[in-house]
Amino acid sequence: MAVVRLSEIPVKGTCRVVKVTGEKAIRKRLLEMGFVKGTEIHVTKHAPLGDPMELVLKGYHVSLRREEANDVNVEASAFDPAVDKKKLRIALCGNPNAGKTSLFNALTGSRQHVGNWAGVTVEKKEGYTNFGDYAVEVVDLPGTYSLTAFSMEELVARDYIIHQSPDVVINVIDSTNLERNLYLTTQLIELGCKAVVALNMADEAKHKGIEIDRLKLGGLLGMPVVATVGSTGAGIEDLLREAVAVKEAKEPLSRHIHINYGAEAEEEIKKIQAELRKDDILANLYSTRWFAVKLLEHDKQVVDEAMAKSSGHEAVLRQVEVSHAHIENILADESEIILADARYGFIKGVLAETYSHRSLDRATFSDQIDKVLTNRVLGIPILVGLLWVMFQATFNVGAYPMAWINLLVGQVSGLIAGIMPDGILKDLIVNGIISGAGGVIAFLPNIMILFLFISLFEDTGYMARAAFIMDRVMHTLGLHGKSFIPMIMGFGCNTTAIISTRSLENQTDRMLTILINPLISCSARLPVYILLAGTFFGKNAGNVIFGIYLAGIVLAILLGRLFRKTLFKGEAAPFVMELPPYRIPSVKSILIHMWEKGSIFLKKVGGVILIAAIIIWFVTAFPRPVPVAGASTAVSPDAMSESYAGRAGKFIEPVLKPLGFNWKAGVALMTGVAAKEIVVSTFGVLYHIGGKVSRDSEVLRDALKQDMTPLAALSFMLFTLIYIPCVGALGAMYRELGSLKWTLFGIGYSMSLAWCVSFAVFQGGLLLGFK
Amino acid sequence: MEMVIVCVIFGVAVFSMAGYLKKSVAKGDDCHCAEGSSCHGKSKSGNCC
Repeated sequence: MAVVRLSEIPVKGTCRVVKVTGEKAIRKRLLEMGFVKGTEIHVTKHAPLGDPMELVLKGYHVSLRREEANDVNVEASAFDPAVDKKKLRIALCGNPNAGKTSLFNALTGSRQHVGNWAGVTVEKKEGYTNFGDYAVEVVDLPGTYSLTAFSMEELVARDYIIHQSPDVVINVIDSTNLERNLYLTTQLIELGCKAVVALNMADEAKHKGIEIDRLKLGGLLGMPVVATVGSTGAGIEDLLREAVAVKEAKEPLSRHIHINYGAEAEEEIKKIQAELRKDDILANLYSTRWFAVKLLEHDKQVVDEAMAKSSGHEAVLRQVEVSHAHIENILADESEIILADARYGFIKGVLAETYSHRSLDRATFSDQIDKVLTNRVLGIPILVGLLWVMFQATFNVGAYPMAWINLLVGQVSGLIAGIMPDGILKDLIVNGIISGAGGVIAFLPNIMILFLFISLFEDTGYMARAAFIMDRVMHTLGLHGKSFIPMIMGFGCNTTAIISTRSLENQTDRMLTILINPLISCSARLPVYILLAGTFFGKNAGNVIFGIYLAGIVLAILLGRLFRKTLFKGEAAPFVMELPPYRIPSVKSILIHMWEKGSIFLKKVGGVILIAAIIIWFVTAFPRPVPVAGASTAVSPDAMSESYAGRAGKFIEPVLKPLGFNWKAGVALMTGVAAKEIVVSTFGVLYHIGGKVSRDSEVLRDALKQDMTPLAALSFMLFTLIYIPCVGALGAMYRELGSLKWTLFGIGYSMSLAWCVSFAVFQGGLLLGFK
Repeated sequence: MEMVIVCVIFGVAVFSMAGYLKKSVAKGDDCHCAEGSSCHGKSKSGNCC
């Protein structure tokens, strides 16, 4: 309801008192007469010369001069001449000099009038027009650059949008200065209001050779975009039509989106949201996400409001302080700056996809770097080169600390084996826990080096560019470019890669990316490749391993296309790949990220991998043969074949025989489900190497050569690449898919595909005369 | 005696694995909107998903 003066209410109009202003004596007199808040007033007639006016309130007639009626603010519920029409209240919001006034005039014609906001000195304009079935009230908010609480204009505009809840906000944007103007748009997005963007001064933009893909822009912003020229009135009808469509929820582009503030800030926003949800009053005051963002931005008004309205605000403010400190510690910058950077990153992503003919003289340092890194010709070679460096460092540099850890694990194993008396407990600790979980710890350096590079890519802003460069390639997959990031992470660990799909906005994109991600060969599978390729392919081992990695990528592409065409049909919803400004990452930030990832990995090793290792040892060690006096308590190969695992291996042997595998390979594949590295350890145990398993072990290699051909080894590596991911990845799949059905599908298709590919390679190789 | 210890460790491992799986199931509800996505509904924990 619009607030107007009582003097403006036409005859037969009805209204309610909102506030009585004016001099104290007159105000007192009016209050005594019954002009108190909420009182219904009916205007019966005006005197022949228009003054005074006769009113009915509280059951009696009263005559009031227009001068006094000016001091009574009323809700104009029934004064509108178009009283029988549906109401549409539009708020115009935009930067100063965006052509807002000319658009307001074009919208409302000569029916505008000027009033004052109650309690503030900021001028507003309001006017009326009719459009179709609607009586449209247009409120022109003060021109602002943002909706933070730094100035009265910003506060007024924000409070109006939040508390007066206009049906639609029209965000008036100067088309010739899109980047700066869109900052306000990002704040309207955060507020979650229904909005239409008016690309004003469209004629000037066209004259300057600026081209804007309005449909795509609307899709990315989640609000329709209309080109207007305020001075001529061009586009006004379209603008009103879109406003009506948005109000009636008939505009397909209209949707609520979230701006991604980056992993660290998002994590802290979630923590503040969790605290806000604990307080019923604060939880229902605003959208918890918007509230949390404002608190992180040190928005004084929001903080004061939280303090005033809830007694439980201390916990929230405490969390806000902790979050501030955390962000500033990790990212070495104030949270306000981090959030503003993220918004400009969002805007830059939007512009990169929708805006052409950007002015060269405004090119920033970021733009200049982007000219090289996201260049059409150089972009992909640079990306491939950087990935090559990443893998080289991960595998080669990581090999040294990995060897040290292996040595340490071996010494601990030897020490325990020497101290403990022979027995089942020693067998469990040495061949179960140390072989299973201890072997996995060796991969900690690789994980940390990989995350060193990933952190570098993320913190400098290059990761966003990588996604941008790969956009077209990923579209051939039926996926958005951002799916590329989880794919890269899959080379490190599929579990973290699957979790990282949370950055994907669209649920079907996410499910598809999760399902094909295990085809990207994780570092845990590398020991298997190194063992088998080194044993059977000699000098060509490197090429074979490279081929296995390549096979995983090709299969992911093929499966992605297949699933998109069959199971996950439809277009990916548009979204923005942010291009945040380049930053020089701090060493502290990189180290913290590496340690966070490393500690997660260690927790996994000490948790689910340890548990799985114990269970696997149990099924390979039982049932145990009757002990013979003086004999070792370690399980012999014959006894192993009769264990639960051995029996299971023999049970599935007929299925694996066409692929070139014997029962031992079958058992290794089964135990590899716990963690792929365990495949190597399992081979060692099954080939009776005595627990001293090393991937370079010549003894193990000789034993493998007796039982396997090169063709079978290649088939086995491919099966290891494709088949069911490890329990960690399976848990992540289940958690992220949120569906047992789709998790089982993931297991089912990977097993089937692994069998088919290995069968084709082994049998095809035999037919071609390979061994 | 050793057999008892091993059985206890195995039992603890099995229960821990069950607990891990149960925890994973519970976390499945904790869905949320990522950047650019539409909010289609609320999970039990109140997150947008």
